Amino acid sequence: MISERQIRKIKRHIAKEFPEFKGVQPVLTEKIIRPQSSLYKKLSLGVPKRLRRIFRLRFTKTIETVDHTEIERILTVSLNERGEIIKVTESR
Amino acid sequence: MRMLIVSGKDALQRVIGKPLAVERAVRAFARSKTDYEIQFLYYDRANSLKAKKAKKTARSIRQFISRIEKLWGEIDFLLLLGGDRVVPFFRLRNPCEDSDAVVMSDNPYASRDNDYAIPERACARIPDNGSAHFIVKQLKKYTEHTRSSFGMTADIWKRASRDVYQTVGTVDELKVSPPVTAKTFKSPWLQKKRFLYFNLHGSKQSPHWYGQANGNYPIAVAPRNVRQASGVVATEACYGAHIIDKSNDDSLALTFLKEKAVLGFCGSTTIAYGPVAPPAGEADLLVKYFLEYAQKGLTLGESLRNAKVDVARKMLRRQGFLDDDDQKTLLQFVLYGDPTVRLGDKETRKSGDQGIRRTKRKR
Repeated sequence: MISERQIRKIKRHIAKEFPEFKGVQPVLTEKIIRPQSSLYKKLSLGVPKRLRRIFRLRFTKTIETVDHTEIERILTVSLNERGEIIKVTESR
Repeated sequence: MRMLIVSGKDALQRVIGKPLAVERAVRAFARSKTDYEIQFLYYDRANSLKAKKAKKTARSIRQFISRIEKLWGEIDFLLLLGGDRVVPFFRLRNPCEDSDAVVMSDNPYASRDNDYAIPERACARIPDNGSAHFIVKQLKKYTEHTRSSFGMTADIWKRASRDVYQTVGTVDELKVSPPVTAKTFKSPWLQKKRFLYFNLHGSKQSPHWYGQANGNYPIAVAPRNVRQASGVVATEACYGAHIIDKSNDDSLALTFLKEKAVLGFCGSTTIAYGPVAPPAGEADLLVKYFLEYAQKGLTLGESLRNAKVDVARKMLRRQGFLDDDDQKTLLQFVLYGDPTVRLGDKETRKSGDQGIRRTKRKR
């Protein structure tokens, strides 16, 4: 599991890099990804080896555009089992 | 190459009235495609292949396409004629935890098995926009012989967008919003272009796409900005290809397609994702590959199909799995327009039976 300390560190990083998400409380989810054998087979990529465990911190915020349209902004930080950031994605 | 054009006669009639003009245009379109063996079938009418008819549900129409394939042979290209009320989008489970209840997708139509994320057929849809004239127009597009492209990005995604846009354009020419907004947008930017690329915010409720910088979200593109646009549109905007219950007045996708020289539109039906900076992932990667293949001269249908295959392959190699965002990306991107259009360097830049308008090539 990801520790509180790691989450605080990521929140600080996000607040610095993405100020609009400063103060937003992320939702932490854990996901076990089973080997996606059929996809590997369809793409002739050999065989996936093992279960993967990933964590996701999802920051969500509703913003208002200049013409008062509300848009849900989502920033997701994906972490591996060691708590290292694998990727950061944003909704378009 | 076999191409199946499929529609529903009852549903089409309810949406556009008598479909005689559309049927005529499809026949002319089929005659002009001499490299293709083409069948135009209504899923709700008896057909020459004696395939069992289908109901107006995505699942039933998909089964109909499979039956046709068994009787006729492998279908390489699939063209869905009509919007959601004629040939419904699949409503797939949303892999992501966001506000989309389902993901609207044409992937299952393009897939022979149940791994919908990776399609085998080149598939596109011609939306109806509630008008026979609109459909006929999609079958009679022409293109201008040009090599220049247009690109526009939200300020916060400049770096990520440059990585995508360099495939088809000069990164220094990429417009950034802000400072560019719909008020300062110049419609000639979209004219005589080969590719039109957008990496902006989109919304289900609004007809606009938005920029972003320092917490401000100005309107970057509005339907009124689209005048005499040309080329192939590729957009990463959330809901960029959302057309359900929309018309060309409140959907940029339909506004672009209404333009006689816009040959195709590739976009997302739901909330799309991408990285803030390179390396490209999700929507960035998909659009990048789509542009690369189209630039090389593959048909638009093949370009999107190959882009999806390559995104899946790349992400499996990079991460070892497809995560929720990757899976959603593969399902949500659709192509509108003629899937056989090609922008290569050959003399085959026409769609339907229209000629090629030539402009001076830059030396």
